[in-house]
Amino acid sequence: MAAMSEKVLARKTTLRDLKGMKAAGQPIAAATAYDYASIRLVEEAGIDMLVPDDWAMATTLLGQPGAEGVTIEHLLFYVQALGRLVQRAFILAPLPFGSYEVSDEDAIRNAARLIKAGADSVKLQGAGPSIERIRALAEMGIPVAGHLGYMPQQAKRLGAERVVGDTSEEAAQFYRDALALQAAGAWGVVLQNVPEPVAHQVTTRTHLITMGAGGTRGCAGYLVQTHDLTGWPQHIRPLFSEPYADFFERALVALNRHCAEVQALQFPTQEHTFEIDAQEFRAFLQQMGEG
Amino acid sequence: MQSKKVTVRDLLALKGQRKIINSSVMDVSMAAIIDASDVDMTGAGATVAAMVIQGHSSPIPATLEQVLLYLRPIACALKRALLSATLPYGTYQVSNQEALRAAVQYMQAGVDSVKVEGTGRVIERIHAITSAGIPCMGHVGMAPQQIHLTGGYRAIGRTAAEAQRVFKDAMLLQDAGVWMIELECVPWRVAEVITKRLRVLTMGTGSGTGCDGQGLMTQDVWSLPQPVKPRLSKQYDDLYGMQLQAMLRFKEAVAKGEYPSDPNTARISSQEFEHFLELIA
Repeated sequence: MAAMSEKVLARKTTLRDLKGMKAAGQPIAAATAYDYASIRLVEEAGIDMLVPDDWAMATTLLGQPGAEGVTIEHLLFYVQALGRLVQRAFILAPLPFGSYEVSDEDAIRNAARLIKAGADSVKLQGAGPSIERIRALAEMGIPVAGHLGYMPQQAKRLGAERVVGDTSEEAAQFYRDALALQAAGAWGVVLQNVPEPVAHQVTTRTHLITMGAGGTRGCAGYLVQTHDLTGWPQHIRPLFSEPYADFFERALVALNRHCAEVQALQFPTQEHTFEIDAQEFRAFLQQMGEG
Repeated sequence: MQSKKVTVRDLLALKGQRKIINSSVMDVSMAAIIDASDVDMTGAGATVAAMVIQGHSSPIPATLEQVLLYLRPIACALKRALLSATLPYGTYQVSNQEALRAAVQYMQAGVDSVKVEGTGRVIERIHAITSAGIPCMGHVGMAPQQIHLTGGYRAIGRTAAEAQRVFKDAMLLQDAGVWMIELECVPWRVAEVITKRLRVLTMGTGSGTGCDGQGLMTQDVWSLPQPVKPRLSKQYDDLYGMQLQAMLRFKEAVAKGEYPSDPNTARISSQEFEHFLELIA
């Protein structure tokens, strides 16, 4: 494995680059990452945007039933890793549940913490009062994106993960929310589980960089959950799951092969340990009274 | 492989019976794989937080708060494998009280045993922890938290004098009440002799087959990259390569407009869509 710097162009992707990609009709690829190995993986694959997604964090790292239990401290811990290690991709960090709802001050304070830890932009979910938070952040010069369609932070209200915008009324409300988000100063929006023609309207009729998540097509870019894509075990599977590999199966086989080799004394071999000079070893045994 | 939670007592009973296998854990997903495997015990703590997650070159930068943050969910998730966690640098040096307080927080977070690196006066801290009834592991040989003292990652115990010191430290740790001692990068002949002399268990990392148990970073087994390139490990599958192929295929599918794949998407009926267009006109 070559060092990241040898393989990847070490220039950070900026908001300007993302806007250029949408204008050029070049789809943006985004993925989740949290730790050294997964950051290396998405950087080496040339993914444009990294998202330490809070719902995926709950279901794969923290073993929680939903996004509500993820705190700003959890986000900061993983965003620090991204801030330290990412050389190329744009980092979009979610404001977790409870970190922006109460006031504009809360939203700005917590967004600033994420930016200081290394995020290039923050995102928050919902319309209504969230529009005011987006305005407050944008007015402070903090890059901010929204999240519409199915919103995992509002799962208690919305119910289990589902398609949002498959009726004309829901789709129209969704479209108006997207316009309000744009007017408040958001540069983009994650659209989760929105039907393709509806998402397409937002992508073409607004300047927003639309990022499709879950089963959404018709966007400027797409966000995949790396754990789901590569087949890691997940506490809860996303509704639109599309694994390209079976990590769990192969990881288990590899780990059990290691266990079997250890029991059979086939690992470690001499190359996995150190020698002591014969004379030094004899002296050591003598000191222990075994010489 | 037993299905109930593995305890310190279960592992002590294995001395001389079969090898005990220890591998690292980083999050709940990895915990699920470890629980499904033949691994007996799993390690987390300072090294995983600072190096495996945050990509530092040593475990020293990890703080207690950071470690607790990712350790609690793992402790909750593990249904079988025993969880041992290393106290972060700076939490145990100052006083017995501070060391004990940090160990208590680990136990409250749900770990099964704490682990403290270091010898000398650190053994007093370990004694304070074990005296409070908290299972504790010791660590001799190459100690990653002492990397500035040892001058990099290297073998410890290649001279009679150094080997003797490793042995004496292991005996002192046993007297201080630890149930297991990790021997890291100790020459295999030395590790074998020390293991035979101890009543408690030894866990070897880079120390040969003579120890009671064998420790390996799970990342190494799967060929997942780490900030410090492992030297004494073995890769059993190239899961980094497998994941990279998946990620490159995803990127290609996105570029071609083929992601998410057509049957796997949200839908709206044409009637509802027509009505929607009227509503937003």
